[in-house]
Order: sequence, then C-alpha cells, then structure tokens
Amino acid sequence: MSHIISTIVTQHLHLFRRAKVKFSFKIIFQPFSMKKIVPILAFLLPLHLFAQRTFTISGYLQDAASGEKLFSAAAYDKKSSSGVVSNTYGFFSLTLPKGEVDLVFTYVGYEPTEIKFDLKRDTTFNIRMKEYAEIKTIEISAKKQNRIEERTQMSQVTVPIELIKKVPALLGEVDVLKALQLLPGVQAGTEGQNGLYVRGGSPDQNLILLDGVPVYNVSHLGGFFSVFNGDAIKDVTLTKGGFPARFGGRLSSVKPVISASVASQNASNTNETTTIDPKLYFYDLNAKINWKINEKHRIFLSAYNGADIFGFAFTRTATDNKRSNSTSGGIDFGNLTTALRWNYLINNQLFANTTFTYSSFNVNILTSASNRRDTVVTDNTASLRSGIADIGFKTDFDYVINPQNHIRFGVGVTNHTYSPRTLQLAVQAARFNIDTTLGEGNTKALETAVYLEDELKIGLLKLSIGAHFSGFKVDSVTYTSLQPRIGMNYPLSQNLAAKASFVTMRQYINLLTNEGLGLPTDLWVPSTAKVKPQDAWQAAIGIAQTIRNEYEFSVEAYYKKMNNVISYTEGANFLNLNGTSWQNRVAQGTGTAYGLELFVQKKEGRLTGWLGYTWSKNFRKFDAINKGLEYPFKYDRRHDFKALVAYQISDKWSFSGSWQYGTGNATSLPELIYNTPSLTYLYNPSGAITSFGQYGATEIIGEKNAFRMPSYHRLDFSFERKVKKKRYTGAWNFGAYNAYNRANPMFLFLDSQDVYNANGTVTSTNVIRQASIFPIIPSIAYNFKF
Amino acid sequence: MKIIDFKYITLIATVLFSSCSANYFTPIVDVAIPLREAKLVVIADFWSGEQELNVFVTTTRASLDNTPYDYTGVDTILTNPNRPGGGRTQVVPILIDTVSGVVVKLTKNGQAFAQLNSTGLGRYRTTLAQPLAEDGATYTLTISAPGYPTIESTQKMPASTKLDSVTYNPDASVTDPNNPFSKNIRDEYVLDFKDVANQENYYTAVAQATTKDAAGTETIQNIPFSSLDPLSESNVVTDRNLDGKRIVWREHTNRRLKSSGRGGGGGGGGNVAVSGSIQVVLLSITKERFNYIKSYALYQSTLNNPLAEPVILYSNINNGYGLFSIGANRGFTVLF
Repeated sequence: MSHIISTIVTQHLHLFRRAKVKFSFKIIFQPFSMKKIVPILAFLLPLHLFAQRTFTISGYLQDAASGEKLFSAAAYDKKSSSGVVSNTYGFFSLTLPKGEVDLVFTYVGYEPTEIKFDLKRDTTFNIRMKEYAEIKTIEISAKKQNRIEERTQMSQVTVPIELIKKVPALLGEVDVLKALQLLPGVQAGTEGQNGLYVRGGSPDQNLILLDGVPVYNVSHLGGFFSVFNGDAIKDVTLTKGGFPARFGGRLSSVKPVISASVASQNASNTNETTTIDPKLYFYDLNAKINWKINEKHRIFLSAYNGADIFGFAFTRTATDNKRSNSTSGGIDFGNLTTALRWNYLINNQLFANTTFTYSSFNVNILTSASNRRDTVVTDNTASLRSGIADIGFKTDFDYVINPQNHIRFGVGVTNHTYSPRTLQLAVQAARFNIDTTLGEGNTKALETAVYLEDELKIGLLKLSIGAHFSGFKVDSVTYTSLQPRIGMNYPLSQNLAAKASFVTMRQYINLLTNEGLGLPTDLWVPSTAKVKPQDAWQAAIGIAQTIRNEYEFSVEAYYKKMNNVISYTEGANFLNLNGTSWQNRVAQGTGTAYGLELFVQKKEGRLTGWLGYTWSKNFRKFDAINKGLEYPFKYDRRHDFKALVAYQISDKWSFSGSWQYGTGNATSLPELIYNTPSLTYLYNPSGAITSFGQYGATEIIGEKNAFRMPSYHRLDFSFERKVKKKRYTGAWNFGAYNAYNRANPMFLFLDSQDVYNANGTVTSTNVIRQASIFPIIPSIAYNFKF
Repeated sequence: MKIIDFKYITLIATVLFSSCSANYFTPIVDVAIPLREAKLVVIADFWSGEQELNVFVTTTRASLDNTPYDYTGVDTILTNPNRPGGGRTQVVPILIDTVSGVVVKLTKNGQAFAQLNSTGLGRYRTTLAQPLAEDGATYTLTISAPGYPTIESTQKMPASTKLDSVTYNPDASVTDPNNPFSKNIRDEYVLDFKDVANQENYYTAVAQATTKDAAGTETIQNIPFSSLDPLSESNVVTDRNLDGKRIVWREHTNRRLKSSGRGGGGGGGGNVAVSGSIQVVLLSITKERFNYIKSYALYQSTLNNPLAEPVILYSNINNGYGLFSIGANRGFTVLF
C-alpha cells in the first residue's frame, strides 16, 4: 500500500511542481502538510489502476477537411472499456494499461475511426475524422461513447450545429438562440424576442461565451435574429444546472459557443450583412486564425464584431427658403469581442489554455436637430450612451490523470468598465453654446476567479466535485464568494443512470431591463456598495437513458433559489431621466423556481430533432414591489411543450418544423376602477387650501402579475432544396413563421370599445385587448456559398 | 483550405395574409377578471387654518363593469378662489358612482370631532366652529355605508415650520442638471427655513401672486411651483439627511410675473407686472401624502405605456382606496 500511495503522491507533486514554477501555486499548497495531502489524493484516485504499468495516449481530434478541433468527441478503448472525451480544444488524453488497445473515436456526424496497436510507451497522435458524405441511416455497431447516461454532467444539452441549421428560421436565417429557445427549461420571453430565460432566471443570468469571451448582446433587430452566425459556429452547448466549477459569474446558464476555425496558418473570415432597409441594417463579422507553432504550442486569435444601425432623417424647408428645420436620429448598438489563446501541451496528460480577452457592448441613442431662421441657425445634438467593456486574462489547466480521474483548475482576472448612462449634449445657438457630458460616470471593477474541479469515478459512482472562488472589487467594497459544486452519476442499468447535482453561483453584473423587452436600451450595471451581488443555489436530480442507441432521454427535477435578484422599481424604465442614479431605481429581492423537465433527442439519421416538456413555477419577491408580497415572475409558465423535427427527404430536399406551446405569461391588469377629483394646491388668503381639482379615472392593479395572457403556440416550418453548381453551392429555402397565423400575445391592456346602439347612440365599454406583432410570415430565401 | 463564405438573401417575400386585419394586432381577449368586492374610495385633504372640511366619497367598480355610472355629466370646480369679483371656476365632465347612506365621521385624539354631510355628487362637507389648529392632534376619518366594509385612516397633524425668507429672482437661469436644453430664464424662488428637529418632515410649497400692470389692472393668480433642486422629489423636500438643519430650497415657476422679454412666458397673459406681491406658503405634509403624491405621479407617467413597470397606487385607507391627509402651512409675502 505504501508503494501505491507514494506513486500517487509522486504524480500529484509532479503537477504541483509544474504549477508552482509557472503560476506560483506554491502559496496555495504550502499550508498542507504531506500527511494531509496523501489521504486526499488517495481518495481521488482509483487504486486498482496502479496495480499494473500504464501509458498515456494523447493528441487532438480534428475534422479531416478543415482541421477544425472537435470538442467533446469520444476516445474509447473497447478492450479495457475505458474512455474520455476531448476538451474544448479537441485535446484528449487516455491513460491505459500496457498491452493491446482497440481504440475507437466517435463524434456526432462523423465516421467512427478505429485504431488497434500494442501500447508500450506514451503515445501521441492526432486523429483526423471525416464527416459523413451524406445523411443516411447509420448502422451503429459499436457502442457510442460520451452517452448521456455516462456523463456526470447533468442539465446540459449539446446541439450539433448541423441540427441548428435545420431549425426553421425566419427568412431562412440560421439562428442559434431560436434553436436554444426550443429546449425544455428555456423560454424566449415575449413574442419575437431572443431572450433566454433559463429555469426561472433572467437574461442577464446567462453566461454566453463566444470562444471563451462573454457576449453581452445576443440579438439583432430587437430579437428577430441572434448575433451568432450559424456558418461561423461549430457547436452549441447549454448548461442549465450542475455547473462545473470552471464556470462562474452567472446564476442560470452557461452557453459556450465555439466558433469555427480552419487549418493551421490559414485565416477564416465570415462576414454577414443583412439589410432590411437602407437605414435599418445589422451586420456580423467573424474572423479566426490559428497558428500551430509546434506539437506543444498553438496560438488562436478570434474576433467578432456585430452591430445594429437604425436611423432616420427628414428636412422641412419653407417655400420662401427663410426657414428650415431638419431632424435626424437613431440607435446604434453592437458587440466587439476578441480572444487571443495559447494552448500549451505541457505533457501528454496536462494541457494548459491561456486566454487574453476583450469584450465590449455599446448603445448609442442619437438625436440631432437643426433649425434655421433666415441666417440664425440653432443646432442641438444629444447622445445617450451606455455600455460595458471587459479586458480579461485567464488560464485553465486540464490534467487527465487517467480515464477515471480528470482534474481541471485555473485562475482568471477581468477588468470591467461600466458606462451605465451618459448623456452628451451640444447646443449651438445665437445666444449661447452648450457642450457638456452628463449622467453617471464610468464605474470600474475588478473580478477575479479561481477554481478547482475533479471528475472522478469511484466504483460505479461518478463524481464531479469542485469549488469556484470569486472576488469583485468595485468602488470601496470587495465581495468574495466560495461556491461549492458537486455532481453525481450512478448507473442503474446498462443504459440508464441516475444523476444529481448541487451548485451555488454568484454574479456581480446585472442587466436592468423592463421585463419582456429585449431592447438595447437595457443597462448593464455592476454590483456596488448599495446593490449587492446576486446569489443562487440549485439542486437537481434526474435520470438519463439512451434508448436503442439512437434516442437520448432525460427527466430532471430542479429547485433554484435566487437572492438579491434585481428589478426596476414600479414605474421605472431606462428612459427616466429624472436625475436619480440607476441604483435608486432598482429593487433587490429573491426568486424561487422549480420544475420538471422531460427531453428526448435524436441527433443522427434522416430524422433528427427533439421533444421537450417542462412543468415549472417561478416567483419573485421584492420589498419595494407589489407591497412586498411574492408574485409570479412574468415568465412563470406552468406547461411548456416544444417539438423540433428535421427530415432529410432526399439528397436535395429537406424539411424541418417546430411547434411550441406554453401557458400564457403572467401579467398585471387593472381589476378595479374609480373616478375621483385630483389633489391640487390652491392658495387662499385665509391660509386654507382648497384641494379638489380635475376628475380622472384611476385603475387599481390588485397584485402584480395576477393574470395570465392567452396561451402561446406557434408552428414554423421550412423546406430546403440544395443547389450544386460548378462554382458555388446554394439552397432555396421556403418557409413560414407562425404558419397557422396564431395571434400570440405580447402584452395585454385595458381599452374601451365603442358600441353603436340601435337607437343611434354610442356606448363605450371597457375591454381587454392583446397586442400581437407577428402574423404568419411566409418567406422565400436563397443562400449561396462559394 | 481557404473558405470564403458569403451568404446573401436574394429574395425575401413577406406577405401578410389578408386575414391579418387591424384586429389581428389588437384583438379583444377574454380574461377572467374576478369581480372583487366593491370598496369605498375617499379623497380627504385637510389643512390647518381650514374651517370648511371637504371629503369626496365614491366606490370602486370592476374594470370590465360596463354598467352606466350613477352620474354622467359635469361639475363645477374652483380653480382660483381669490380672484377679484369671485373665484374662478371651471366646468369639467365627470363620471361618478355615488354611494347611498354614507356616514363620514372625524375623531380627534379618539374623541368625536365632526360629522360631514352630503352636498351631492359624492361630496361631504362640514364647517368647523374654529379653523383646524396646528395642535399635533391625531385625527381618524371613518366612513361607512350599507353594503361596504367600513374604511378608516388616521393622520397626525404635522408641525409647521416658519418660512424665514423667500428670495424672488425674476430672471433666474434654471437648468435641469440632466438636460441642459431646459436652460431657461424663469422666476425663481429660494425658500429658506429651519427643519423641525427630531421628527420626519415633508415639505412642499404653493404661492399666489397679486400683480398690477402698467394700466393698473390687478390680477390674482396661483403660481404652481416646480423644482429641479436635487433636494426635492415630486416637488417635496424631505429632511432625511437634514434633520434640524437649515434648508435652502430652490423652486421656480414657468409663468413669469415680470418678464423682461427673454425666454419664458409673459406675466399675466402678456401683461407685464409692474408691482405686486407674492404670497408663498410652506406646507408641512405627512409621509402618507408624500407617498401618495409620488405614487400618483409615477402612475400618471406610466399610463398607456406598456414599456413601464406597472404601478400599484399607494393608499393609506384601510379596507379601501384613496387618501386621507392632514397638513399644516405657514405663509410668507414677497413684495416687488
């Protein structure tokens, strides 16, 4: 036994020595004596592995055609029944006993690759996998790896980009977020939005990463389209709970979006511009380059820039040309992200990724007016800006000790600059000039994070345990948080496993938003001395099963408690320019969400898609809202059903359709009305005040969100016909959004309706109306690529 | 391999079906709004020095109750009670639900103080033997009517404070710190007073001007104040951070009494005042009135605005709606 323990310690100290030299982890580990470390490490490692000599097979899994690294591809040894999956950068490391190995590498949409050889030493090779030439029914002989019931991670859905591309989309535009909105536990918000409300959370509680860089605004045209270009993305994974320790900073979900790159030393550029009107357009630019210095070092540089431009202008001139006035204005908003990554393969078991990131999101609302009378000209310009800019550094380590034990650890620092609301005004007139900047100045904050997580197997039980520590320094306060994370997987039968997880999360950033509106006028603001950081814990249990090697099935129940969630106070909105800081216009409270999710997904074959159902409840409670009483969150949706089907009819033709149904959103409506005179101040010489004024109606909202909008349901479909020409390939897309023309509600309001009586009189009656915005929208689009 | 990927949508045909009439976008929907129990609503606003107390009482109705109102017509309201030759009045349209058998009672420190009698159209009035005094007393208004739960509210007469001085600046430059476009020449009034210590105080102000133009025509007008002073909210100053301290509060009026011809409106409907006096009153109000004013202003600002968070209007009436408030006032005169 002593020999075994000493072997384990040697291996770990090997790691520590490496880490100590490069990243000064010495300080962290010094307080532990060797006596303390040994039993801890002994617990982490399955001992039987050291009964015989082992060697490590490592390398990269990549697309044969493009050189694209394949994330979450499986490497599996049939002989020892051991397997691992590749990390974000396609790297895998599989430690096996000496002797003959029979490796099979699998990835969705790719032909499996098999290799047999005699393992005598540590071995490194890269596997280039081929995509299936055409979609066909695949005979699956070997057991596929990385199956849902084998993963410790729960509450996670990975959607292949090929399936996302088939989701029926408005005007044939591939929309990543619209596809994610079709998953159980995810809601879009109001009609047409690209909001993501995950398990009762708010849009700001989602960590959306593009190549590891946070992206703050994910929508174009107020939610019609997402900023993610389907042609520049290779994979989308949504994690709704059971968050691994390596992720932090948000409460509700993590969505790493990995953009596509091409073979080493080549650049990839994808530019996309969609013009709706000469003064209304948006664009996305994606670029990525990578450089393989040698087998151990690789450099990646990726960038994304996208923006929406809305504008208007008109001029009016008097016939005598003595007077004229012109007005122009608009809203510009957009993201800029860049990431410089350095992959360092320290040895065949230890992989390091160091990233320098920049991310910014800015909104600029501009109005300009010019007035001329004879020769006197007055010019007014007003620009209301808000935004956020991050500069960050992080380094992450993957240490694959053996197939049963995978450790990840890392550290990160981000410098945030928040510009909540700045008003820049310029007036040039005959009598005076003003050129000034008003509003709230920039706020700087420093966010740090350290994490350690270990994915290990003890007997049949798979565990993922770890902790995420974060710190946030803003103004004169510093917040810290230690967030334990644990996930478990226990097989119940060959294809069925029970899973459980418990995580705590903290976030230091808030999106001030009027519920239901995904307008770019929303403000990103930090936690401050007055506005505390948001915290949450979430527990989930469930089962996962692969049925007939084709269908992934899962059932999960979750309970989430959120503290210090933020909301505008009653009556407040972004455009309130009443001089008070945003901090005075928000309330903090608690949120509670719980529910049950069922999900069946088929990822391969002619017929792909999924079915999802969610039963959930979702509440908020703020002292300053609704008289301090708990109320249903606007997106409290009791029943939510979603179906997505994609079918390859022939080599040329394909069909896809989606249908979704949801209980109506919660809303506030006036329950009672009364008419009274208003209060006015009138002076009276005797000192008395007479105070009855004009009469008016007052509507009484009893409790917030006490009513339900009509249910939401919608059918979208599209047919696609591929066209292959000598110099290019293209596709015709025929589709319909809201195919059966359902009038889905955006909001409800009390209105009056005139009723014409038989005797010629008109009676006004009160009615509730709903506002609907998108009727059936048929579309024909042609996309081509060369 | 080099990939250049251009996507271009060459044809977009977006056709709204003929079935998409205007009713598609704002259809009437059937939402089950429960018929809540009708409750009494009261507007009662008493001030020290007032000898005639007026109360307005009505009832709530369900928002989708389309039965006719009890009274649909007009009423005459007083807009300028002190105008020479009699107060100015205005006829306004009203819709009122009246309540039968209403009993309005006022107690002072737990003792019966007054009972108000109906004068029609939901109004109840009484004339006191003595004007309401600034005595710090506690008043409770109780209103009952057959078929309705009795409503009740209590207010304590706030202590008034002496307005030490008012400075009148007829050509002041008034700028909204959040909007320099508002930079205008206005009549400004700088109110100087000392807060009453060791209690939570809320102050507002009102004024009346008596002016004469070059022709000797006298005009009396109420001049409602506005304030961009960071001290104030909804034109109310609180002593939250100024307990017992001296408060200097800047208010202004949009109507100018002594226009010099630059900016703003002319005085007295175009006539420039050459002499006159301005009476300014500093009003001490209760926290409940302040909450109501704030809430009502917010409520008004969000009417017909689906983008704003809904506002639940504040009320200090137990078992009902509306407002009962009592305030105190101290005057000051500025001559020019």
